[in-house]
Amino acid sequence: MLVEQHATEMYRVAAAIVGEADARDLTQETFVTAWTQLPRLREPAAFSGWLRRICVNRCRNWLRASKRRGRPSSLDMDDGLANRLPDRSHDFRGAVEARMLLEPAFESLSIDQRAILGLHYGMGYSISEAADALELRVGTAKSRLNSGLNVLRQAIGMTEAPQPRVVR
Amino acid sequence: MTDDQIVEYLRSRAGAQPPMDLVGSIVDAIEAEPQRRRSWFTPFVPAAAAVAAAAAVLVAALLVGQGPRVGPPPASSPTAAVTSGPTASPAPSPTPVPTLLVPGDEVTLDATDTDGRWGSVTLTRGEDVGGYDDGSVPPDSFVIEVNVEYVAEREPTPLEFGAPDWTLVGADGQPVGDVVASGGRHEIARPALSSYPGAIDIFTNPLQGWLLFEVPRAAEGEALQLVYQPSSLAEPVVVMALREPRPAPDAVAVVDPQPPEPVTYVERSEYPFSVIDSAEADALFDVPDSCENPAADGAWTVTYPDAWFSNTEIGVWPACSWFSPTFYAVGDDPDAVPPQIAFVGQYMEGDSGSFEERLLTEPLTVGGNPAVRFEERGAQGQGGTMPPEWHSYGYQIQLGGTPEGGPNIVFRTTTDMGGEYNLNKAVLDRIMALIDLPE
Repeated sequence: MLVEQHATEMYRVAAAIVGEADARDLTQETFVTAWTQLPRLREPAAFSGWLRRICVNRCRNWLRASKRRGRPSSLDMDDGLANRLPDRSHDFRGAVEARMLLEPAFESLSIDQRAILGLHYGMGYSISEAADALELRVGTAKSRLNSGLNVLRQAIGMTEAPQPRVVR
Repeated sequence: MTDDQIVEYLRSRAGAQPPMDLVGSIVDAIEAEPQRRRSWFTPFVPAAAAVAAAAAVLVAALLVGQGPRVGPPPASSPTAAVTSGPTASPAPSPTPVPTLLVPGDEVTLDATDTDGRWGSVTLTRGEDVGGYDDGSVPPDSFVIEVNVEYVAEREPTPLEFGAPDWTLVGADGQPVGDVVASGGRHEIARPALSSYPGAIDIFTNPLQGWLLFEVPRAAEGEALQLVYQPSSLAEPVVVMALREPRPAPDAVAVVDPQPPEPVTYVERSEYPFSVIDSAEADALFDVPDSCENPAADGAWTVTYPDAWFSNTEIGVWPACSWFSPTFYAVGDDPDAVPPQIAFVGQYMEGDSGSFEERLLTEPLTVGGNPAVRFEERGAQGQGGTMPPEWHSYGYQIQLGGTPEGGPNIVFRTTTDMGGEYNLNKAVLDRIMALIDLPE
């Protein structure tokens, strides 16, 4: 069944872009939209890419709306996470510290920067696949990827940006 | 901290585990939502598209494990700004309000659907022309040009708009003429207004293009009106005066394309082989972009001018197959290359055969593979099919053991494609010099 095939991927796309708290609702909205608009899909073979674009657009709309609402970030909702963690390992604490630095920086990014970073690094999509999902040109997607990456680098105190990890 | 921690953070966001009942909740939500647009969609699409739509409905049925459902019937009438007669066939209003009689006249209307206004549509009167030099209009007809731009404020219901919304009618309310056939050179400057849903199902907002009405010269003495009637509505929304009786412009002579000017090749340190000497092409590559064709067979990554346009996956064409110096619109047949496209790249199982006269065959190495740079001209009357002024230029990159056995990747431009042929050649040289092919 198509829902079973694609639900996990769409859930993770939504989580990568907007966060886990709203991923379920957005995944559900994605499939309902796909269902109501399925007759518009002329090429059934293109279903995966089409569904991905719907999901990304739902996430973008959600982010626009949440900016208007002034919704608290997921970090705000989980403030003090590091203090509640047991001191089991330095790496684990380091990861938490990185997350605490990165989370607000990620949420300060533009909508498309969040989406391209989430799709490319989070989901492992190629630049081309991510650009397609965002309906951006590849060059534009790369530009937003690099600018978003630089914001995150600055957030964790990397003063000099290394070469981009993904070239093509 | 390093980039690795950034990547790890981003992966952790995407690594969220979905709740156990996710699939069930999605199916419940789908079952609560009627697929209301389907019953509207089917009557208005071409037969082939209707088959595809039917296939999609079957997929939808599989989605929830039950037969397709039919949504509520359409509303009987929109809240239209201006309407005319009560019959389903377009009839002119006795007092048409907006007019588009003079070139440059502009009218903005409510884009209307079954629920009323969904956005705006702005029409700008173009010229009456006697035809186009590409011969796409017969000499017994002339053309009325109208530019149309839809701007959506929400999705229309049903989600259908574009060229089919518009009809040219005579004084008797009956349709006059047709639209100019697509595919000619005239479309480079006057891309036709497409329709949505169309060849690619990406909501295009704004949607802009040209209505080119091909009108029989015999109708030059008639008052002509433009009717706006979305196919979901039983009555016209607006009827506008478009042309008063007057002589049609003279027919336009067909201009045959001339053979291209000769070119010279130069060696450049940044390229592994000679390229056509072109300052314009060099300048275009000052700001490069890149794209990737990720197809399992015949993948490539190319660097091309940022000012140019390429494609995402469309019809049978993988991403990064089309290259155009100007914006282009996909026609109703997604497999057809739009006229603005300057050159295409494609994977071929075999050799790229031709009946035309070979002018150039230059062995090269392209992307690490054996290749041939070639140019041909038409050999009509001598075994070929194309006229002698027609030229073709390209590269055949060998992926298999022999060029004849294939497979090959072929990039090609011709004098009847978009853009300027010699510039296309020069740009293609540079793209081929920089192409990356997977090992």
